[in-house]
Amino acid sequence: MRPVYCGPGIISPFGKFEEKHLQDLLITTVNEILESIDPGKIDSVVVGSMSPDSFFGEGNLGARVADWLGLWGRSVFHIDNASAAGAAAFQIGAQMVAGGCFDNVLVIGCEKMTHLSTRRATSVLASVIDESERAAGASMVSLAALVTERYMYEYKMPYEALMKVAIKNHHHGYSNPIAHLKKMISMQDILNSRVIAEPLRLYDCSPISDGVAAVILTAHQTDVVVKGWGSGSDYVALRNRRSLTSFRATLLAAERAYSMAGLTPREIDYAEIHDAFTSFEIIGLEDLGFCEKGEGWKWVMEDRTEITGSLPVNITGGLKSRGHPVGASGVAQIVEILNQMRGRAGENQLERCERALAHSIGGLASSNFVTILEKVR
Amino acid sequence: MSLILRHCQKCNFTDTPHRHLCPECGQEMEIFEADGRGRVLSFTIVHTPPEGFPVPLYLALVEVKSGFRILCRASHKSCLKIGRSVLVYDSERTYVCEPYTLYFRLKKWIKNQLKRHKKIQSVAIFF
Repeated sequence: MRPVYCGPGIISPFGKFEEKHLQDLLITTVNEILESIDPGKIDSVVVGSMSPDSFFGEGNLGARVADWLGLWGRSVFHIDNASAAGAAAFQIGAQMVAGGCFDNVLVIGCEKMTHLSTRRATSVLASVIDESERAAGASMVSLAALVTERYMYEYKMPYEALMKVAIKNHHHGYSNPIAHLKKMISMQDILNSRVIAEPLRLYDCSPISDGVAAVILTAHQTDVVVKGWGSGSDYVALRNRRSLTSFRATLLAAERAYSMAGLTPREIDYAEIHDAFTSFEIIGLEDLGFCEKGEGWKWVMEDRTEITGSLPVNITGGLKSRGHPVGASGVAQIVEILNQMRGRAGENQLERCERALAHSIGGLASSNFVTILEKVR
Repeated sequence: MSLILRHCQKCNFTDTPHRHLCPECGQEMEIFEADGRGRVLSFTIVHTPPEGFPVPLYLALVEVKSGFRILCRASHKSCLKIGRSVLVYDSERTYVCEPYTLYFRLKKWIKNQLKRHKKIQSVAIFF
């Protein structure tokens, strides 16, 4: 396999752009990186997006996006892996470059959701979960609540740990220019917010957002190499899972990514963890091997995931504050890491970011992705 | 009240009747009537449920005696405690659980008895 390098990456502002069409968001964002590369050299366009047909009634997104960007003629693909669509598109792109099929692949993650009512958007998002669980009235947030309640019971986690995750991510999202929720929050704000599905409150859930993120993958050497990637899947229904408090899909994805990269969790300087719900950041810490099972919330309480801690996590705001346009999030995590490695993270800049990991969850952890990037010395 | 499930004898994998083939070995799974008694593994009270569901919506993940886990609606708030004994049964395309305590069963039995004997229905107010 050839080494795969990251070229330029970009993220559009994330937020509510009810009036805008996905086409406008996409063209203004992606054109910026197309200026830095000869578009003639792009061999393929891979688009990650969860449900463009359900969200705004347009399918066939691969060809459509290439058409909008003036890239007709290229090999085009539309990847849907629920909320990990962006991460899946990135890994497919990396595999195509590694396998020698293409030299330059444009990977795009995008989603346009906010023009729908929250109820409608939630029901589209719930289409990724098991049919019989949906019939009982479950949605993504209620399944996440069941997982969280069980985690709190098994590992005696206090609610304060979840609040600390939300406060940290909002704190850093505040200084991220593209973040959706630019708002510092306090414990009191969280306690005053409404309960969505006990024990999860409004501030435990990532927002419904619009946004686009894009990156170019290339066989030509740049400053960042894609060191390893891996993905794994699990039963779609929560009832069939062996464990409620650990996601097997993440364990498999992480094992494969670490083994490909030849790295251990200890060698990672920074992690972007899929915090669609605050408890997922804690479970992610454990499943990715950074700490023992049941220790994740203690790491959070000890500030080890803060910008000054031993393993900073989501100090760009995470999905929680940056926003969660489902298909875009996986690519956005990669671009945030590239910004860190290239010294472009502004106030959230880390002192050291040689190796970083991005973790993305599809559905309720039914298809998860782990990608490891490394700075080229 | 019953709980119909499918079971793979080889792998001991159990699931709802919608799944015909065992995901572990690929063999046809057999229908059986399961004991609906079990314990609550986790629960939530949903304050923003999907359209068509009551607010608040009580959900519980229950492990029944055969080891199978099932996500169901809870008929009473008193089901919502980890470890609580409940009885799961099929109800119009979904699953429902109700408390399985001596007090609750006795209360339900007396209510049913009273329904049969209309004359003393006024006594029902005490239950």
